[in-house]
Amino acid sequence: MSAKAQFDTGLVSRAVALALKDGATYADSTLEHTRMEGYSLRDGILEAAASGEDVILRVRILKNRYLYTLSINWPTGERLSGMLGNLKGFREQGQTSIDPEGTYKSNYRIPEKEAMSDGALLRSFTKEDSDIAKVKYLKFRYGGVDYEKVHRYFENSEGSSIESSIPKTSVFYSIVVDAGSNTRQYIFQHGATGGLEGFERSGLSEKVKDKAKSMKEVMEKGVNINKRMKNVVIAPEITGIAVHESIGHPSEADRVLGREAAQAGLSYLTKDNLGMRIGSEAVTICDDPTIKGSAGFYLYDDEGVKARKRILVKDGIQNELLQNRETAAVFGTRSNGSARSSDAGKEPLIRMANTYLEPDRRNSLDDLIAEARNGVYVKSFTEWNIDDTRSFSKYQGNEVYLIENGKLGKPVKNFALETTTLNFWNSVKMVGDEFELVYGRCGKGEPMQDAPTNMGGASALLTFK
Amino acid sequence: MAMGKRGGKGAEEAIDDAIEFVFGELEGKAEDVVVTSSSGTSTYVKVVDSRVDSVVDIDDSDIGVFIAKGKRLLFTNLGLVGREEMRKKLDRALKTVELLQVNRDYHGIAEGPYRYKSALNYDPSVENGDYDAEDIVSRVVSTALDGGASYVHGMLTLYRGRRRLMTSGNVDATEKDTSVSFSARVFMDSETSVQSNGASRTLDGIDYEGLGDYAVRTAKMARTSGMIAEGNYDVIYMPIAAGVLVDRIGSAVSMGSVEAGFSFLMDKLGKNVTDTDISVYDDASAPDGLSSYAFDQEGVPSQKTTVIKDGTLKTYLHNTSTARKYGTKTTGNAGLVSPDSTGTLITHKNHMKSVEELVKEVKRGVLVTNVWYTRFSNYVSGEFSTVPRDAAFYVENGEIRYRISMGAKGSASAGIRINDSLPRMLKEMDATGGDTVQVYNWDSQDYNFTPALLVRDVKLTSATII
Repeated sequence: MSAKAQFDTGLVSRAVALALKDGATYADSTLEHTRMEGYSLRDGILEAAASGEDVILRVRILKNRYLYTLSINWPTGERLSGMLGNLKGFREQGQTSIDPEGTYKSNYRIPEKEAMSDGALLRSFTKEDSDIAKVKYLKFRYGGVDYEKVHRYFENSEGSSIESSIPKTSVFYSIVVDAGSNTRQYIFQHGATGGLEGFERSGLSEKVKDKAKSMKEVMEKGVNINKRMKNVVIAPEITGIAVHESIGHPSEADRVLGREAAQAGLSYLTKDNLGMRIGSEAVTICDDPTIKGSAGFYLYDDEGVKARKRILVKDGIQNELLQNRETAAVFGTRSNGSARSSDAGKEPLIRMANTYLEPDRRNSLDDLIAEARNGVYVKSFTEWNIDDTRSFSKYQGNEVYLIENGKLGKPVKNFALETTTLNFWNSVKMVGDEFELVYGRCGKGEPMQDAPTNMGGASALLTFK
Repeated sequence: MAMGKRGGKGAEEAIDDAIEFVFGELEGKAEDVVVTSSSGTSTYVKVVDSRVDSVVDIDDSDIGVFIAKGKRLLFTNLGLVGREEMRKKLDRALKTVELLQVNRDYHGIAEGPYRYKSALNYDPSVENGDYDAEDIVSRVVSTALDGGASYVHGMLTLYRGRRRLMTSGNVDATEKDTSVSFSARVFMDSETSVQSNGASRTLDGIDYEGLGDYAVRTAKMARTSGMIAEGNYDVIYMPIAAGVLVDRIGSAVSMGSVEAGFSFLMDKLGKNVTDTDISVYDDASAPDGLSSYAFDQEGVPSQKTTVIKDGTLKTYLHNTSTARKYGTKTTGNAGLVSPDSTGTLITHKNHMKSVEELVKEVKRGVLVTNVWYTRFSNYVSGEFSTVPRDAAFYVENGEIRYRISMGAKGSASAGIRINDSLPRMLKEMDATGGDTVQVYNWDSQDYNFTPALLVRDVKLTSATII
């Protein structure tokens, strides 16, 4: 039997029917076929190529108010029966409910403008790598590129059936810049929905060369500053990691309920403080899975809910949580289509898609820098972290420049922005007109699920008291 | 509740037939061939608010293939498909590998056969589903609640699997694995939490009541909370916190990390890299290690390797290919392209029997029970920062004074951040204390072995002051 033959959508219908027959009050099933290829280059040497495919069948069963998520790969009717027959439920009643949803029928396929013909991705990657190799002061170059095409078919006991086909590319590239006595490391990442054009849109070699040059300049000409800065202008790369870590994650309703407490953590948001002020009136933060070509793109989530833009913070006020059908039942609201799994073998969790700070068309980056007058401009970061409830964060600058009399000045070696979430967002004085999304892979759950996301939006001027 | 054995003997025979067929099809068609069959089931029982919340059960089987032809390397997988489909995939793979660029750094795989003396622990009860998940959860949760905890979140994870390896280097080896782990995050109230994790290859290898008891005892080390100023402090990392950093030390010893620019130990072979009382081992043969294996990905028997002895870096971790490149022997850490660290163990000659004795060594410091978001600004320099996740305690004149809280209401976060570098940390590690235990952490999901660590003069910062 071939992988194509094993993409038997009849198994999905059968799985749902068997679950209902066995006493489930709700069931859904997803069949997923993934084809992938990937390459890694170390200092110009092709370490190895990888190619492969997988077929996974997942069944989610709500029975006696417990949610069971079962999966097998390379499914057959016999393996499906074995999996379902193997489930022995709990003695007591559970506490899970699934909020009712509408019935959806959909079949969508994301086209590849440039088809992934044999070897095309490797040729493009090698070409970019060769270009980066022209930079003489790199101590290490290491990177990998991947392509995958995910074909999914979903049915649930409410009559929905959704089929999708989404191709994606992602690239990771690390350089170590050598300035004699010391080094700096930079890791580039990019991901997109689509075919080869997604990788080509990454601008890999130009961006890495530009960063290498900036980092060398920082090491050779950078100054150290030993005081907290009152005025900080952040570029979309910093805005992106900040909206992701300090707004997006705490807005995940499963965290708010404590369901991720032993894994991905908690949230400063609780059932009791929803609607609180998080930022200044200049701050509106959204998460939108429907942005074409984005890394976090989808039109229906993994529970069969139609995707839509979510406004997490509106004019500085907490506005909406990311919900799945289980948390929606607890909050007495509706799912906003936030359930995703990294692959069909795992349980769908509440995930961000593409999270961003809404731009303000009235202000250019130059306006922000002029308004700051004296301070720093943080263009990119290296390490970052945040605490369990997402209340305290740190973003270590990589490319940082002094702002002196409203103009950009010398590079800075050692700036770190370390503050509380509320201080960060309430200090936003102006938002710029830029709109840039950067790529990030986001980890959550146990087993760990790695999800492609975009994050970013506008530049911003933060003025701390 | 239990998830029973899937497939049974018939499934094992089918996958054995498949791997033998694939190996037969590839034999003689490339210089090096490695075929691996794997089948395993993972069960995750999630605990939320002291109750079982949900179950995830993942059954994953596959046939993986590695082909090296003229130093051109290709990995592919075949899945559980029919023979004709397998033949087609293999034909395609053999054509594809010809089109790849040469990896001049590749120097082949190990030549067997080998004799395996592995004595890894194994539990038929896990394989057969002969356990009661609710009872296991109850043993942890009840102990914590009885000790005064308000609620417990966590995860019980069970795994059973089988792996067979056939290589053109005369290896044909099979091993079966079972494992159990329990991760419990115990909250005394909304502002005090402690993480308690246990891991073993057998059900009886974990003291479930002990997990709940440890969390409660640790949380009660201080009854009050307070703030600390930014500055330099001695830091005691309890084993769960230490494990994250020990894991990063292990990763840096891999030749793969060294060659790719992800190691602070580059160019340090034969040199002093730590305090001279410290030794570090990579142990893939630890009988109860969840990262342990009988043989690596090319069939070399697992071993315990001394990587740092009395402060001196003795070896990097190698597979056969990197060992040949650098004129040394494999350490049994394949990774066919890049060697992997496994079960890193750290020891210190100044080891104290208990954490309490370690605390007595500290004039002004912090005891950290757990960390997460450990991020490196530069893997070559080893500079990192990490955030205490659960309870952290201020220590003064050899005594724990209070739990650190920088003022986020309703948050168990200490609100402090550790800023250090691995080279500095290893030079300034003065002592270890308490039991050496197998640790894992949500931030670092590999299994390593460490006692509590005492590191002097660590820079702590806080976000509450700007």
